[in-house]
Amino acid sequence: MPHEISNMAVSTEVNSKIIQLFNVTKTYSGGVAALEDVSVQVERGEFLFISGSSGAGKTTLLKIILGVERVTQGQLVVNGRNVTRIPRRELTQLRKETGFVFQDFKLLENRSALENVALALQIRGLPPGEVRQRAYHALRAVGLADKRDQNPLCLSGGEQQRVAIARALVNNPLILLADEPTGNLDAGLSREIMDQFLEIHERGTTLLVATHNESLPAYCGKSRIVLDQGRLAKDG
Amino acid sequence: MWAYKLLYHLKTTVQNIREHRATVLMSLAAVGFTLLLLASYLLLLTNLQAIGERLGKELQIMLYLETGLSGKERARVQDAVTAREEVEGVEYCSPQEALRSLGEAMGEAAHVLKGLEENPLPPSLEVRLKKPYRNLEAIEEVARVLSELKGVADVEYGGGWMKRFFAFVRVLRWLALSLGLLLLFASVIVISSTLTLGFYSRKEEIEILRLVGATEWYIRFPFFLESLLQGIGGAVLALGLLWILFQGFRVNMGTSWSLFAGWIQPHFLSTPMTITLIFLGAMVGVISSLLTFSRFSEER
Ligand SMILES: Nc1ncnc2c1ncn2[C@@H]1O[C@H](COP(=O)(O)OP(=O)(O)O)[C@@H](O)[C@H]1O
Ligand SMILES: [Mg+2]
Repeated sequence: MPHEISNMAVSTEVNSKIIQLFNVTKTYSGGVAALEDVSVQVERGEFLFISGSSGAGKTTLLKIILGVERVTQGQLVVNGRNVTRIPRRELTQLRKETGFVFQDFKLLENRSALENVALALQIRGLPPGEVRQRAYHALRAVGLADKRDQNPLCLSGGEQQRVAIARALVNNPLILLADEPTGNLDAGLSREIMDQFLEIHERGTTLLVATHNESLPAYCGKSRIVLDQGRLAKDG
Repeated sequence: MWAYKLLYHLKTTVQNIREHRATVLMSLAAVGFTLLLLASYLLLLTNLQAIGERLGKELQIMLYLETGLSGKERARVQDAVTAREEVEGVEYCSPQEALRSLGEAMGEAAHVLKGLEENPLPPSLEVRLKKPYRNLEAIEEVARVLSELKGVADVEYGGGWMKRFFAFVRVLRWLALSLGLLLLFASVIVISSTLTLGFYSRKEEIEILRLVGATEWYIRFPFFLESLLQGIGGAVLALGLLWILFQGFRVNMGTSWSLFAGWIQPHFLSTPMTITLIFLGAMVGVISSLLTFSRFSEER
């Protein structure tokens, strides 16, 4: 049930909820309502799937949490910050705490796997030695240590996916957002990625995984919310 | 921490430049050429100004006194002139001395002076002005004031052609200012377009940097450095080229210039002027990048 909450009433204090959407509506400039009156509460350390068919608004939901898209109506609180009208400066802080894995990986083709991961560390001004070391460990954690100097173009879809995951995790984020992480993978590789996510979850990271693959939540044994044409459907 | 960031910025800058070096080189050449135009113009102007200063140094005011002044009256005029703060020194020139130096100046033709029954030359005071006042405006003003002194019959100073020369230099200076602004503006546009190309070709990287939480300034800084380097590089290039051109000019045309300019050697831009030009190049770089940034921020 949607709760009516005024702007002022939204509590931004740190509590057990790490992501809170209050009646969020997102309307794109073309007039498309990608999300309509969506209210979701995500617990710290929760592993939650967002399912729904293509065009349901899953990607949009992740994008507003990362501050890539602005909320049109409603309120959004992430890790105690009201992101609804967050200034750009604080947004960078939020993003440093939030790893993301987009569907199209977003890897740079003119950099090696290691350099792609290193990017997320360099922006924090860490010394080059530490950057290399941490990037290496992150790649090793996803089983790509020996491919660290490869260009993403020379890697398979699954390997690119794992480089993206390594980059998302290298800063030990509080939250990991993943958009169709198995979209381009066969069943075997999908399960591998899911096992990886379960492991990450074990370490206390909050995971939000958007997928149109019905079998993933069951495989992981985790709960899910279902979006249908931008609206929250009854939990399936 | 900032030192490591700077290191990464430098790396990125080098990589950026290497990846689109053709564009950067073209931009550098264009900026260099533009600043070369400006620098050559300034070079001409400073040399003309040097000539003007030289002429100005030779500028004196001649005060012709009324004939038949007593020694006391003459001394009073002389004191009044000396008392003015613009005046460096005053020298009295008696009619006899004036006649003698006229004779010397006339050389062979001096014998015509022997036919004179009476010395027609008036006594005069040669007034030298202090350095800051050795320009036409100041001299005109001082001459006007001195001409009103009692006992002064007439005043004379550098001819009307000097007035025209200074007016000419003044016009050139204004032209330099407007031309300079125009050329600097052109450089800004060139660098800004290069940066814009760079932004587009690195759109993906910029998007990713934003997503992993880089600040806008972290993203901008390599572009800022590139822009700064182009501005400074363009200025250095322009000065280097100008110096080579100048040496060529001195070897081939130096003598004719000196004849025209009254034995003043042509000289290159002064060190402060050179530094100013490089600074202008740097400013062009800074302004270009700031202008470009304003169009490439993440919309929020
Ligand atoms: N940038 C955009 N501009 C306009 N419409 C968009 C944009 N992104 C997504 N949409 C629309 O919003 C709706 C939800 O899209 P999306 O969030 O990508 O769904 P999903 O990820 O569940 O497939 C779709 O109808 C889509 O066409
Ligand atoms: Mg999607």
